[in-house]
Amino acid sequence: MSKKINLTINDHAYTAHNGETILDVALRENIDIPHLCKHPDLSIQAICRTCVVEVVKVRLGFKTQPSEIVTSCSTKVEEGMKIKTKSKDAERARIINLELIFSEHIEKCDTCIYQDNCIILKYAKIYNIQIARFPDRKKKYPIWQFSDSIQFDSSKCIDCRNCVEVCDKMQACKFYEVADRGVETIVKPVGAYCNTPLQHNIDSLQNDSNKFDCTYCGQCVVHCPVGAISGVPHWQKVEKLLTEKTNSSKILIAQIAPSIRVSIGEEFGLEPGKIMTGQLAASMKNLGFDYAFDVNLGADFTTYEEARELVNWLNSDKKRPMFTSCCPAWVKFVEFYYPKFISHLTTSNSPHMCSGPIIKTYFADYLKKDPRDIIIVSIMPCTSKKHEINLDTHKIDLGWCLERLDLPNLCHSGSNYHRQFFADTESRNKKLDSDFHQNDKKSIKIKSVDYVLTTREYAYLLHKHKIDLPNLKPQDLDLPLGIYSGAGAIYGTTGGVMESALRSTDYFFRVFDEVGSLEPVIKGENYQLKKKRFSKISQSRIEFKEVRGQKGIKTARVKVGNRKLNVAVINGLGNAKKFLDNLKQEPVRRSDNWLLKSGGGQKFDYVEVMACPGGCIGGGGQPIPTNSKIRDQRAAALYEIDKNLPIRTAHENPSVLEIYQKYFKGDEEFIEHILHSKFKQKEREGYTVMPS
Amino acid sequence: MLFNTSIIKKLQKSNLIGRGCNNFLVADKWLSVKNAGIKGDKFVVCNVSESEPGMFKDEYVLKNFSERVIDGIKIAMKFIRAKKGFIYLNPEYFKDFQDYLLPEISAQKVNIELYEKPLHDYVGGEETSLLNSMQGLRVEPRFKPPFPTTHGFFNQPTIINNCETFYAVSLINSGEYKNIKFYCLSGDEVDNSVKELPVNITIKKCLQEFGHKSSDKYFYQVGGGAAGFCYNYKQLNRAFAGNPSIIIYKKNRPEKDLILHWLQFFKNESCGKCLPCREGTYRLLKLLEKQYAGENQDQAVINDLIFTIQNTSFCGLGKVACNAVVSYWKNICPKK
Repeated sequence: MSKKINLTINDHAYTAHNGETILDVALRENIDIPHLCKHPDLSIQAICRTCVVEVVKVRLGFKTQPSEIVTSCSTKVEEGMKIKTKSKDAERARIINLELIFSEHIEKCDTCIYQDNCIILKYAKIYNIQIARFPDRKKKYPIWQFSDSIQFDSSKCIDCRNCVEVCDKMQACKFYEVADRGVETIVKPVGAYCNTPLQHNIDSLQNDSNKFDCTYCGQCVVHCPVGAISGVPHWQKVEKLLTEKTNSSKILIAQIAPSIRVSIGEEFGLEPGKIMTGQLAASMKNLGFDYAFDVNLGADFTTYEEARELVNWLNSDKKRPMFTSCCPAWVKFVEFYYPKFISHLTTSNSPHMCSGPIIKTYFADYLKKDPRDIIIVSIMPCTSKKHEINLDTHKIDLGWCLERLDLPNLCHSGSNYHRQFFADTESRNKKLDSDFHQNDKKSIKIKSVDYVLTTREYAYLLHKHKIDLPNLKPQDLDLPLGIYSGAGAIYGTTGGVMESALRSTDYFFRVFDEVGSLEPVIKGENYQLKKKRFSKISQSRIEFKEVRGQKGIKTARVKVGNRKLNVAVINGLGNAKKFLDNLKQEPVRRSDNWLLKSGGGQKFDYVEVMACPGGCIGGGGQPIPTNSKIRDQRAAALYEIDKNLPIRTAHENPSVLEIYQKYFKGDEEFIEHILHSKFKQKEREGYTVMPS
Repeated sequence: MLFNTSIIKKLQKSNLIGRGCNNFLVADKWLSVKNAGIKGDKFVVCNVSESEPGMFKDEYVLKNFSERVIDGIKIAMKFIRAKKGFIYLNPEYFKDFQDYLLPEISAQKVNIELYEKPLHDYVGGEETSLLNSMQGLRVEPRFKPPFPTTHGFFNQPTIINNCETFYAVSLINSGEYKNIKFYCLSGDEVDNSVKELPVNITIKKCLQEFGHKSSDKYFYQVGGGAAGFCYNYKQLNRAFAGNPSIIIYKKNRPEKDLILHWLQFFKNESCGKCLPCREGTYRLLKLLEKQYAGENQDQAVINDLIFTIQNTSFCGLGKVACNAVVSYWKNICPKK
């Protein structure tokens, strides 16, 4: 038990725990103190100096007890302390410091998606700040863009260095650095040259800047208090498509990621963890999308493929462990920082990269539409997904599909769903065919997903169109791609991919042991039903609670089928680095495996890594603020969804099985093309300078 | 063991206060390093960053008593069982003194490395900035606590003392310490000079010892050429606070030049870590530049800025940045 401490804040008595800071206590008691550089995920920096308060400490043996101004984020509570958050002196200093903050931050509110929940504008109102007291200093500061994912507008930067801290300490990427001194201090991507008035060049990393690159995880975005770092906006493009939709032949499809349904409510003032699936479906229709789909289905495909790959992997001589690859920031991290582990990544696509191609092939057939007329917008908790959709390895080669499949209308015609689309299949195929031949039989590659909106961007779009999400009448997601299992639902939290894959791996191993191959799996047969649930196969396990929780590195030994696997679940790239650095190759009997140096040389068979703390629920595209408590609430909601679903495993999802049966028809090469990708070692992609 | 207790007793008896400007008891600092309870190596760093204008006593000590300084470091290393010591030198001193120091170090058979500070900067003399500099990190103060006594060089317990402190330690150890220290005098109509005088001397007495007759024609900046306070000739009956340095100014010096000079110094020397120092010193300088150029400026904003810089800066550099300016307006020439 920690010692209780008595103190007063603004003449009210409170008790606090030993070791707490003044700010901790104040926030817990709902006393607002402005603070910008303090984030619960990060260590105390105490450099923005806006959280100043006046304090009288008890000094035994002294007659007078002078008051002093301290930063509440860094000052520990003491017995008898008298704290004043609104004293004349504290406010005097705080106001000047806030005005100085505004002198470093160029207000570009018109184009800023934080305009409705901007922290510094809020403080400006409360303290009656004169925003333009001091003239803007950073007018000519550059804007950097990292791939199509992240934009850093240094003219809005207040030098709080949260991005530097988070990129270095939490994500182990060191892509940001602080250069120069004094008023010329600038936070910038490593190695960037900037044409500002600085010329000291004391950034120590500059010489080896090629060793550092961005993984686009977006943690700098969610930890930036003033929106200087943001996701590259795609919403304007999507908005334009939506308004022009009436006179175009395009079909607009939106799909929501597993984790955004439990977080988007926060953008509308709801508690974290409020489940909004139905309202989201309604909102997508309200905005004008033709179809509202769920990436949860894509997640079921990922699980299905990944579990299949895992079974094959463990039955083979391949080096272990197998790593998940559905987090594009993690993939980039491996490709850039740890290329020796590239061959350990599963090649199964990430969920929206599974559902995207399926929509553009299977569902295009269903609609009898040219896949090029289908526009898919993924609503994601992630900035890295914006980068992922542009990767060449993730594009669909229509020419390849056409030649291979002769693209007839493969879909079942039983349902009378969407009869309004009567595009002529034959003419469509002819056009595709002629384009293909005109192209000299070269491939016609199209993106599997066209745009990615972050949770924040989508909420902004709804606000802009005056759609009040919480009060919409819930609707169902569209069939046939709207059915999903609980395994897909939990993808959004750390441990979710692992648990989903284990559920199916357990089953696949049983099938394998009974049949001697994974033939029924590839063909999409529901072996459980076929065996009428009395064979050993149907005894598959659902919950793997040992891989749940927000801990950075979790390890467990789990039984699947009749095998025991060592698994690890990691969230945060810093933890991933720690894990990888501690792995060493063991020159063992059968094949060379990787084992942990410490912990008794434990070998690992299967490892899940998510780049962001807590997994996608703490992703770079999620509502701000985010902290461990909020992440916990979001994760709990996902497990709640899973618990209440009738189907909780990917291999029982009828939508998945139907597509395997009727579309893929056991053609492994086709599955490979649609649902798998390749990875290769990456050079530094760095940054591009944008016109400001 | 006998040696260990005896040196600390001697230090306690002498009441030796560190000769940097932090007024910390040397014995206390050494004991807290010794009892830090952290595994691994301990270190001793001798700080010869000396970068405040009007300060040149460390240079004088190195020039004349380098063997004493090294002896002092050796005593400290022995006391905390440090395997390694450092002398942290600003670039000029490194150039000037490495040829003195290196032979002396090898003669005394002690593992001391000379470290050349990359820039001649002001904040680099602050103890945690010094550590950052030596570790190849950005030169700026660290958040305290933890203090260098427990988490210093590469997070190991570290004694950091000014070079004159080690000189005094050496004297105390050999029983030759006479409770005196070095004072610097510079400024208008005088040559730079250093004198060894009693520890608790008043400013007035000190000036007399240097042979200067204080008068209405002059004013005096005491405690360093950047952070020192300005006093008129009637205010000199007081003890020194901060650096033992006096700079003499002729009273008819133009106010504008002085004020802008002091502010320029702090604007240039700010490390850029905390907002009030980084942005505040710059804004204050700009406002006063405009004011002296004849533009009308809101005096309340200037006062608020000064208040904020003095009270909310992260480290000592920001907190003292307005000392000279404010005391000048208060004691020498009231602001119009």
